[in-house]
This record gives sequence, C-alpha cells and structure tokens, in this order.
Amino acid sequence: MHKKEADKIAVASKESKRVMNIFLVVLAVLFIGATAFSKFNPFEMLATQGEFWRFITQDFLLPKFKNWGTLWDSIAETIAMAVGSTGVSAVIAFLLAFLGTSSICRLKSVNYVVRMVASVLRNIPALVWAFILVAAFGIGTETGVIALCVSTVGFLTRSFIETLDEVAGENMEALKSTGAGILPVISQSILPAALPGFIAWFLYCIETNIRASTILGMVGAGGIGLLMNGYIKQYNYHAASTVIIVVAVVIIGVNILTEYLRKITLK
Amino acid sequence: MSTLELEQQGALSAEPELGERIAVKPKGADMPIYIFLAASAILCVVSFFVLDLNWGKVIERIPNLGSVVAEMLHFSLDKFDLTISTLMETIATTILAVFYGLIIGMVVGAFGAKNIAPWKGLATVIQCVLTFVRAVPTTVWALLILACMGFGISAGIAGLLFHTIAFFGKVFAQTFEEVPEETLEALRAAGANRIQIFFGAVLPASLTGLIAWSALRFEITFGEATILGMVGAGGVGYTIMAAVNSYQLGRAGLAVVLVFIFAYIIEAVTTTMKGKLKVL
Repeated sequence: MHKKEADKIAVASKESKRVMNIFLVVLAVLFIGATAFSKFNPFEMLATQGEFWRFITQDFLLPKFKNWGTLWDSIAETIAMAVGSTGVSAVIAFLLAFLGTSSICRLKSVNYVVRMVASVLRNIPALVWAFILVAAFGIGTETGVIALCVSTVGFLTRSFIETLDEVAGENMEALKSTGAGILPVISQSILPAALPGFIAWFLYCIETNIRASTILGMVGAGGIGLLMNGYIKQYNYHAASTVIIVVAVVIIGVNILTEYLRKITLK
Repeated sequence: MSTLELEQQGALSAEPELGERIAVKPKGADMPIYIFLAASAILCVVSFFVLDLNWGKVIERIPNLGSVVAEMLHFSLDKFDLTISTLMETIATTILAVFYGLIIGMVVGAFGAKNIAPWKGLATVIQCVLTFVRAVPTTVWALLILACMGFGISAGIAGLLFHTIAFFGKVFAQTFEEVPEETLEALRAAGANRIQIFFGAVLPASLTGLIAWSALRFEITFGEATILGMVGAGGVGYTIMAAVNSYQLGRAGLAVVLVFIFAYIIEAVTTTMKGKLKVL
C-alpha cells in the first residue's frame, strides 16, 4: 500500500513536469516564430518610449472639457445598451441552453445545432459583428444593441449549457426514478441548483458588455465610443482624456457593484 | 416591444414556485436571488425606455441583413494572399503581446503581491494602477499608442500589452498571495533572500495556473487583436474593414470565417487543456 502511494505521487509530479516542459517549448516556438514573422524588437520600443510619455504628459493631461451634458447622455446610453442587451441575451440564452444540453433535450441533432450556432456567435468579436450589422442596418444605437446581443447570446448559451451539465448529472436520475416528469424536474431541481451559476455568468457579461459598448461607437454603433473617437480623430486629446477617465471610473464602479452583487447572491 | 415582453416572461419563468418545494435551505435563503432577478428585469426594461430604439427602422432593414449575409457567404478569393498575411500578422501580434505581457506581468505581480513586495505601499499603488489600466478598453489604449507611435505591428503589440500586463499582473499577484505565510517564514528562517524565495517557493506554486491563464489570455487577446485593425492598426481587422468599406463583401466574409476558424481552434485547445490540467 505504502509503495503504491509513493509511486502515484512520483508519476503525478513527473506528469506535471512533462506538461510544464511542453508548455515552455510551445511558448518558445511560438515566440521565435512570431518574432521572426513580425521582426518586432522590444528594445526599439523602449528607445521610443520618451515620445509616449511626452504625449501623455503634454498632449493628453490635464483633462479639459466643456460638453458635460453630452457626456452624461452618452454614458447613460452606453450603460443602458449594456444592461438592456445583456438582459435580452440572458433570456434567449436561457431558452437555448435547455435545447443545447443533452441531459434535458434528447435530440442530439438539436444539441449540436445550438452549440454550433453559439460557437459561431461568440468566436467572432462583438466589434466585427457591429461592423457587419452597420453595413446592413446603418449606423445607430439599434445596431449596437443587436451586435452586443449577438455575441452575448453566443457566450451565455455556452456558459449556461456548461452550468446545466454540471448540475443535471445525478439529480436528474434520482428524480426521474421517482417518476417525476421533465417539467417538475427542471423547475424543482435543475433551476434552483443552476440559478447561482447563471447569475455569475450574467454579471460577468454585464462587465464585458459595459467595456464592449464603450467601443462600439467607434464603428458608428452608438454609445460613448462615438464621442471618444470623435475627439481623438480631431486631435482634441484633452477632451478625449476626460472621456477616457470618465469611462474608466464608470467601468470600475460597475465592477465594484457586480462584485457586491456576486457576494449577496452566491453565498 | 416584443423583446420587452420576452424579458418579462423570462424573468417569471426563471422563478420556480417556492411553496411546493421540499425546503432544503431555510426559507428565505434564496430571497436575494429573487430580488436580484426582479431588479435586473426592471433595469433591463428601463434601459430600453432610456434607449428609445427605433425598431421600425430595424424591421424595415432586415431584408438588407439577408442580402449582406448572402453576399458575405459568397466567398471571393480576391487578394487572398493579403488576407492570409494580415491574419498571420494578427496571430503574431497576439503571441508577442501574450508573451511579453506574461513576462512583464510576472515581475509586476511580484511587486504587487502584498506578502512578497519589498514595500507594502508599493503593492497597493501597483494594484490601483492595474485596475485603472484594465478599466480603459484595449481599443482606447491602442488609439492612444497609434496617435504617438504611428501605424505598424509594434503599435498593435504595445496597445495590447496594456491589458495583458494588467491581466497577468493581477493574476500573478493573486496567485503569489495564496502562497502560505508559513512557507515564506520557513524559507526566511533558513536564510533565503527575496529572489531565492521567489524562484524557490512562490513561482513553482503558480505554475499550473500559469498555463491555464495564458491559454485564456491568448483567446481574449486574439479577439482584441482582430478588432484593433478596425480602429486603424494593421492585421486582419483592417482587411475586414477595408473590404466592407469597398463593398467587397465576399472577401470580408472569407476573412471573418478565417478569424472564426482560428478562434474556434484556440477555444478547442483551451478546453482540452483545462480538462487535462484538472486531472493533474
């Protein structure tokens, strides 16, 4: 018995050492390949950093700003875009997730289609979606909301499916053997167990969507990005820096709020 | 308006009836969750009132979307070599941004971890700076870098570095702080200096996490590197933007599909790796 345990430990540590070595080799190969391809020289960048600091200290700081009214309106719009689209996406993803998990929906082909669609939606960045949608719907907040919904539905569907899969396992078997139908099983066992996980993902998406909605304006899809991009394009960096600092403060504020909500809902 | 109703229905169906359940938890323990769900449903509805969107315009233009998608799926091999080389450029940018971010982030994390930083005030200052850096979107950092460094692959890497450094700095600081104080105490008692403690105890403890975090960061950074092109830095994002702007939708479509395929591969690799690392 003793010997067996000792063997086990040795194997595990050998294995993790092997994984570590593979990781380092892969990292080195990728690094050399990428450097050779791009001819990127970090020391060149260090040499030119003086220009960057001059830019930050002279052109960028200190913030100077007049249009506070426009700024607050844009901020409100940005937050509303993020919250609204995350809410709608959560509902859609909630329904799709039940079709996407094999423990509830028995049709393998439906599972597959849902997972595939979710994968396409989330693996193309939100800004690319926004750009494609602008080509179809024209510029405007509507386009931004739809673009956010598209990528959020993709992300949340996968995350919800993962949560359901984790929760479903044994619970399903036990309840089914008592003769409970599929709806009672979902509402009495699966939902209560999965809800905290769903909420955690929902809050995560609120955070990422606040970030995403601040940049959607850069392709004309509404929100504060429009204002920010405008100032940068006009070389009005003192105004741009004000907008950037306000954006950062809003994002930090939202992160603190979601952190608090996580604490009270997930204990 | 239909989406609003959908949202309300969703919020209702998400709440199972309390009374009929066998109480596993004391009654009222789930209250915060239900209050939260109700509050977010209300906030979501309020958001749509604030936005006051013109859904008529959207519905009117849905046929447009159909034709745009159809044209994009009609792949064109026009300037295919350029698409491939810009995609390679984006991938190289991603790799280098993650690599340098990892290394610099490790150093930053060592100074930002309260238990091993040479001076506790420094750790607090570093963590505040990292929070601020992460709160400003990557595209904004990239635009600022572009404004002072000009275009090119170095500007893209520098723009991405802000977030990768901040990310790894935070992750490493957290991992380092998890190293038990007793271990550090023991090493100090044995006469090890700071650098020996770092390489002997702190770094090895964080190695498995390191692989998982790098993979996750690679996934995120690739998405960011793609969109950087759309705000003016090079790479495949620029190809997509230029192609859409000149109505070569078939070319843009092919580039988007290539981005998807690469992102899908990274995701698949990350998922398998996560499974393997859990076993270890």
